[in-house]
Amino acid sequence: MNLRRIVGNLQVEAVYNSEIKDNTVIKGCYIGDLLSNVMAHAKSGDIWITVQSHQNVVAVAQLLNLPAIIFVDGHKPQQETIEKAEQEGIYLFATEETAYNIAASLYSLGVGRSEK
Amino acid sequence: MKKNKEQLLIKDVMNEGVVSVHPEASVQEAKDIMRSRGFSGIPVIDKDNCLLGIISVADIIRALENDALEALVKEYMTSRVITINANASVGQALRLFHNHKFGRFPVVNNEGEVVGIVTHGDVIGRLAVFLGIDEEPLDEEKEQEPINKEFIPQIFEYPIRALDFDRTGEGASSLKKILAELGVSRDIVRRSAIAAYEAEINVMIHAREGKMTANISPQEITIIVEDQGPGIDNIPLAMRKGYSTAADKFRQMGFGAGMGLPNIKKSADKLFVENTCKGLRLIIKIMPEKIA
Repeated sequence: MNLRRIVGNLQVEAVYNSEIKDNTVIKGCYIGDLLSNVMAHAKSGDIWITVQSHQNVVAVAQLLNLPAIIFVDGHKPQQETIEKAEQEGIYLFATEETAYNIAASLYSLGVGRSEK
Repeated sequence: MKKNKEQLLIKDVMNEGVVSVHPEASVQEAKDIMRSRGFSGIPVIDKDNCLLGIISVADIIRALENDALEALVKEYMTSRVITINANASVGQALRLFHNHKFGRFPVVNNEGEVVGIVTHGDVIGRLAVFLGIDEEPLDEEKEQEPINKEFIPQIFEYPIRALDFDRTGEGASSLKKILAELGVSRDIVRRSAIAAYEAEINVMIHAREGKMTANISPQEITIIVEDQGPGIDNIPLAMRKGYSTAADKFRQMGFGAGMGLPNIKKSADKLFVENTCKGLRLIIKIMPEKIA
């Protein structure tokens, strides 16, 4: 599912302004704050929900081809994180909502369920 | 209800809107386009929309060897190009892929103009959908290609500065980009990236400094990470999931989950962990040919 359509339906705000490319497709979702766990289990195309805000999350997202990160529970990424994400083309979003609520919305939208 | 397979034509499976490069452009420009788009080859088309050749990673490596990135694309491109008609069947394309060792073919219309490009992965991917054996939805970026047999073995070296937290992951990131550019398959790129990243994190957390060396060939990727740290007292224990000696400050940042070495082991075909007189040495081997 296109990322633009997803974020249009979620209670999240873009961390930096950037037009989402047409071909940015989200295939699933992974939730986690232990980076090695994310490394082991997140799949290419997943949107990542976390509270870790330091710039190493961008490295993880870039290595795993995770197109976007959502920072939940009011966590805001650090300035270096934002700069690095812009550089690597990783989209960042932030929200006051919990990981559970965001994940539930993603599921209702059909993310990670087979698309026809 | 099954449709006749012959009805699936190249124009149904190709990528429309071709990214091409001008023959008078520099090899450097072609390389940048390929890098930014993640392509391993692009057609060379002049201003009259006439197809002159294809420039691939192998051509660019040749230019690199001659230190000739400023040379013109037309001097390094492969001019013997095999095209396929947009109205050909996917069966014909499969035969073409089988008979020639190219990863992609430009698609032309009846007037000979290039209207698209088709990769082996496009054909297989669409056939899988057609036959209902696909597990994942397809998308534009999907370009699963077999390992590129053509590239010349190379060595990638990266110094790891421990406690340089901001830059951690850059070695793995650079390695990932190099492998992707060489046309190594996604699964292998992913496994190499995970192993390299975890090894880099380990050096950052436990050692003073280290070095990553990757020997990259189409048959085998060997990543050697050596550090000047305390080594590991009990290697079998360190290989267990959840065992970690990382300091609290790292744990707060999401590191030190005790998953590093297990993750490396899972990603690698072979892993050797050894204490050296200076610190620790990891030898990680990933062999693309093992992949089905």
